[in-house]
Amino acid sequence: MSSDPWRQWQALLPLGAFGRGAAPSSGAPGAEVPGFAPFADSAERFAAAFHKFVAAARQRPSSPGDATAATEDAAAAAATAADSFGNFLREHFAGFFKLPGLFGPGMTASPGSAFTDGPALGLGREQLLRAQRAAEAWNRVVQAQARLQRMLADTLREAATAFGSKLPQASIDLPTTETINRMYDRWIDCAEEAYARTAHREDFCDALSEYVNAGSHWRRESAAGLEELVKLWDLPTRGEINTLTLRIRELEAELLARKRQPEASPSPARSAKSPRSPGPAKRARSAEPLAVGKPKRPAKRRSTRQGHTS
Amino acid sequence: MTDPGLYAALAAARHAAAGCSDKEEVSRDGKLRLYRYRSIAKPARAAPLLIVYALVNRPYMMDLQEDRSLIRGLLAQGLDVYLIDWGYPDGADRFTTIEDYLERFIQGCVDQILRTHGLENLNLLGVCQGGVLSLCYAALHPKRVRNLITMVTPVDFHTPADLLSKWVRKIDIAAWVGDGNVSGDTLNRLFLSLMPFRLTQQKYVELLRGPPEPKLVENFMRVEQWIFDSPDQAGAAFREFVTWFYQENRLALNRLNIAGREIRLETLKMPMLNLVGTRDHLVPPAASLALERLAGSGDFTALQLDLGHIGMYVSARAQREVPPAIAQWLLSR
Repeated sequence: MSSDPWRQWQALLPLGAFGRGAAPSSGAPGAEVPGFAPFADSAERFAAAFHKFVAAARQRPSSPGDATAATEDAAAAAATAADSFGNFLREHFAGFFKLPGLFGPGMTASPGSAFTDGPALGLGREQLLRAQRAAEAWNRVVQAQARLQRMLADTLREAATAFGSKLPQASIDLPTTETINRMYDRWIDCAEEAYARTAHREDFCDALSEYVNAGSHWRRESAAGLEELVKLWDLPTRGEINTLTLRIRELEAELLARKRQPEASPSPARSAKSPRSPGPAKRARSAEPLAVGKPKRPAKRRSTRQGHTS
Repeated sequence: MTDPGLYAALAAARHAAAGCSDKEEVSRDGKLRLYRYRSIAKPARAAPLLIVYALVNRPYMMDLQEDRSLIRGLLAQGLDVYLIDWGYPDGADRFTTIEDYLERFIQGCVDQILRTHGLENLNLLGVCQGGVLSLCYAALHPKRVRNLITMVTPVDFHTPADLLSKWVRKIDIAAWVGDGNVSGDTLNRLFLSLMPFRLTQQKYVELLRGPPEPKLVENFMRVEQWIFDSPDQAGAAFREFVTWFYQENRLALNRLNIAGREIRLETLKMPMLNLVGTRDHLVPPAASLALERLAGSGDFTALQLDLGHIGMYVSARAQREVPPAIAQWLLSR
């Protein structure tokens, strides 16, 4: 470990740069660590927030012997910490509940528009109805996603407040690598604890299920539209392939039943020749038929709890 | 710590492959492969052990690397180990049901092993979702299972701490799955959402804290590979699993019916060993411990270890304690 508390975190920055496409000065030619950028960024943001917090704490005048002032100092420090740490994970997880990049704006339609509410008539009736259902489902997806994101933002604000109140004032006067690591772990603990409380709530479960269900309905309507298009070119549709797959399944099941039929009638294959172990050494007894019987010991139920560390 | 050092270690570990023990394929059915591991110790006097792993992840986690291999630990105890590799389901498997997994695939593997050894029954070890399948199989074919071991296996899916269960209860699974499969990436997203800050941030930052020790980095990369090498799920089986187990809790309520037969845990009379991780965030301990209350076995052992879900098979502590515990339990029966 480095003795300079900032060095270790600053070391992440070049990795973040690699993640954004810059070539590393060493390592395999052309190799990159694209997956590392967000984590390096997260750590770097945390370090910056911590740095800001320490600087602010050092600027505050100390009030030895004055309990009221000390309490106010602690409250101010907690507020500063909440402010400093409240943003970086929130920004980091801003798109946590968004669907993958394939989907996006342009798929929504404003409620009340001619497209979403217009009457479906004539030859294009079914297609318009389908498109309307898809647009409506997509609007529901967007709304549910926004609800989830709001809950997540509130959760992280709550986590930041909890974290701020737990910051030890003594240790931040002289930050070490261990201090920063410990603080980072504590911050993650606070975030997970707050998230767990939110994630178990009924309104979160409702929003999540609405998000998934609306997405499923949108996909079903979109897929039906694509099937119609595929038919125009006389290409096999998913429905046709499914029909064939089911027929093959039936045939496979019939074949398996016939294959197993003769095995069912005779007695168990106890007389079968013992196999040779695939192992390099010859095996003496493991391949011998083993007696089937009751447990060697009388019936028992036992629960054991072991362990202290992992 | 220097960043080029870590960068080099990560780059060098990119191709670190999981799997360390020698094995041979002994049968196949569709995408399924049944493997038998080569012995590395004096054989113990025990029936062969068939490991039934979950459908949602790849089974090589059981044999990740030499010092992180449950299978190697079991082999070192002299056990004769078989493993089912389910393969990667694709569009042709979308109608594969739980009944198929039990009555065709597991049954086929058990048949093969019993025929090979001239036995009437074997030892079954089910891991996580594979434990649920093993319980169902044992209930359908009790005479073929001599001893049943379940590891980090959910039984009561409606315990208060079960976040995954809470989340999926109001989801329209039939609409979600449709007629297709469920992508492994989607499931990964769901699993990461259970502890997003720890699983998508902290663990990577932790990697940056120590010196870039190649062995540790390789270990990290193998686990990383396993986590994100997630097969798609056969749609029909997934729909059934979520509906029957997560939403309706049929296993714990004795309302499960597969292949036209009732699955009742109270009918399980064979010796049972239940391994529970007390820090398991995917399968809360209470969800797994419920088995002791529900199973009919008069010879039931519950072993709680202070480990997480994955730690149960790859942590250093698990290597020391789990294989001997399993072997001793098996050999004393």
